[in-house]
Amino acid sequence: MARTAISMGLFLHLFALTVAFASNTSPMIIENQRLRPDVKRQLRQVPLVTPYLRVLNMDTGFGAGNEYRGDDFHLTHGMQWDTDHTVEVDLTLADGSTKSYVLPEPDLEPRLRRRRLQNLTVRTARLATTGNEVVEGRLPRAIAAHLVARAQAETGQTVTGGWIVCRSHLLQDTLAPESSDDAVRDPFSDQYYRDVIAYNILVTNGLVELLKDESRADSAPSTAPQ
Amino acid sequence: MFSAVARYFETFVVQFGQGWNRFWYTPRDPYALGAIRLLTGLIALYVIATYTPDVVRFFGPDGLLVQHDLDNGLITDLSYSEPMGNAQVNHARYLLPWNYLYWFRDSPTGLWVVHIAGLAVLGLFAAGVFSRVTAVAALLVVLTYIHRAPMLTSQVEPILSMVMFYLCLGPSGASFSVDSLLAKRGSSIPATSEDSPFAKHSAAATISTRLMQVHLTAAYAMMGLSKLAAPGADASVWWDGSAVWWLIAKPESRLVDFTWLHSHPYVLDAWTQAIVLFELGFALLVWYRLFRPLMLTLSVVMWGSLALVTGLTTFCLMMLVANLAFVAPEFLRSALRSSKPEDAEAAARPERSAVGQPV
Repeated sequence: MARTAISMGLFLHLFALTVAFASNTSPMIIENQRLRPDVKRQLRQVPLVTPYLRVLNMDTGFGAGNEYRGDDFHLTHGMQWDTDHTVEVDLTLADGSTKSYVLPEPDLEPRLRRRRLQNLTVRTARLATTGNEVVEGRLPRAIAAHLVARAQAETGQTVTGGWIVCRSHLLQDTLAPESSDDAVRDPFSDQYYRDVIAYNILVTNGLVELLKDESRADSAPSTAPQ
Repeated sequence: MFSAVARYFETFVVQFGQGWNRFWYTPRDPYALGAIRLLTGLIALYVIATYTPDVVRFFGPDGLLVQHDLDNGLITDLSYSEPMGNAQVNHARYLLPWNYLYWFRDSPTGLWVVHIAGLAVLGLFAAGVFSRVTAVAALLVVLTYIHRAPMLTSQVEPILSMVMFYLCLGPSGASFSVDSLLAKRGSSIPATSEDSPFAKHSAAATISTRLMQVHLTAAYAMMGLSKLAAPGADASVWWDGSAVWWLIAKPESRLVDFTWLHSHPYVLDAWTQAIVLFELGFALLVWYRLFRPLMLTLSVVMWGSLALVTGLTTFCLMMLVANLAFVAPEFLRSALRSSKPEDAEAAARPERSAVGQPV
């Protein structure tokens, strides 16, 4: 009797796993546009399957990953969001001076801490591709609000404004290391950076709002600039 | 004709049932499970301990991830939402209110207390103290951090939580644990002996190990397939052999600079193809005793090299720990004992294959 009950539990668990694996293989990038075939979508509607998988963190986004989570098991597809990203913030203080922050901080140790912030900045960049202005501004606004509060705590001054930009660090192709041009050979030269999304930060009555700066955003299509 | 078909299905059902019972319920030595618990516990402790300098920065008042619209928008609306028919079902409503880090978003002191308590639980789990209880508690701690900030997670968390979940199902404290040390106190039988009371074979150990094996090989297959399933026809870097270069070329991520390989395209191509082949091959071949040692050895090379290239050290280490589910407990036991010829002979004994037949 006990073995029958356990077998039933095993069967249900394996069924849920099958649903998780089968329905997370779509190569579509945008979750909202992920076009799962009907059978897979129907399988996910079996009561309690999806919540069960989500609670146990087993609804892993294989395929092209998920723009909200960093479980990109493909490691790279050579796309823009497979590169390293930074979020840079310049804040203007009440006395006219500026306070700058970069996420992730380059000297952050252990590396897992840096990786975590790297995931946050990559998610910020990927959300910028959703085409939904409300969605794409959520992480930048959260980051900006945190850094405004931090700057005010560190300097004792009010922040009057500033800007925030998410930058993609594009990759060299295999020919770049042999180039005679120093700027091409140096992976940290300016030509390897692209602004993915940029906002002006407006601080009014302590509230942080963002105004998108279309002129700075340059969603570069791919990896190597050459 | 009808009777032949009926006979076939009768035989099929009987043999499937026998195979199922053999696969899931043949009692197994939990020794390897203890090793997996110890190493997984240490990795979980490390992963959560690295939140320590940032716990208030991320989750505290004015933290990076506590803005009202982020909690109510990004996490609630997007991260856990799922289209179901014409409706958008929101799973975060079930998760976030039960997340203890969320409860203390306005209290740095409270955050510190629950964070340190979580680390203590993970320490007890790794040490194997009250393993049955701490295994479940440790899983809850890890899942809490994952669900509180999914945008901070990477590849290691799904594998870590998967292994920890299955460790809850088996006697993971039967070896390499304080529990086993306390139990054998007064006993003259060494803990590493098969005669030790804690070496008692159990079906629970089999279920735990088998689930780990099945899930892990499925994950390997999916990792391989996800590499081949490029989002665009012109972006198939795993097909054209350039994927390893694009990993090497990430200056902020890599542990070791392999850019000198730019002039060796054949090496880059072969390395790329080898990764995909290994991942797809592992999922199938590790089930066969003949190939198992080879695949496990190759996995050390594969994950070791990937750690150097990608900087995903914790993830690669976690994959190696998860691979221990395929190491025979007898082999592990003999490897950790003084090597006697009879032990080596016992270690070489064939383990039954996935379908229950010695291969």
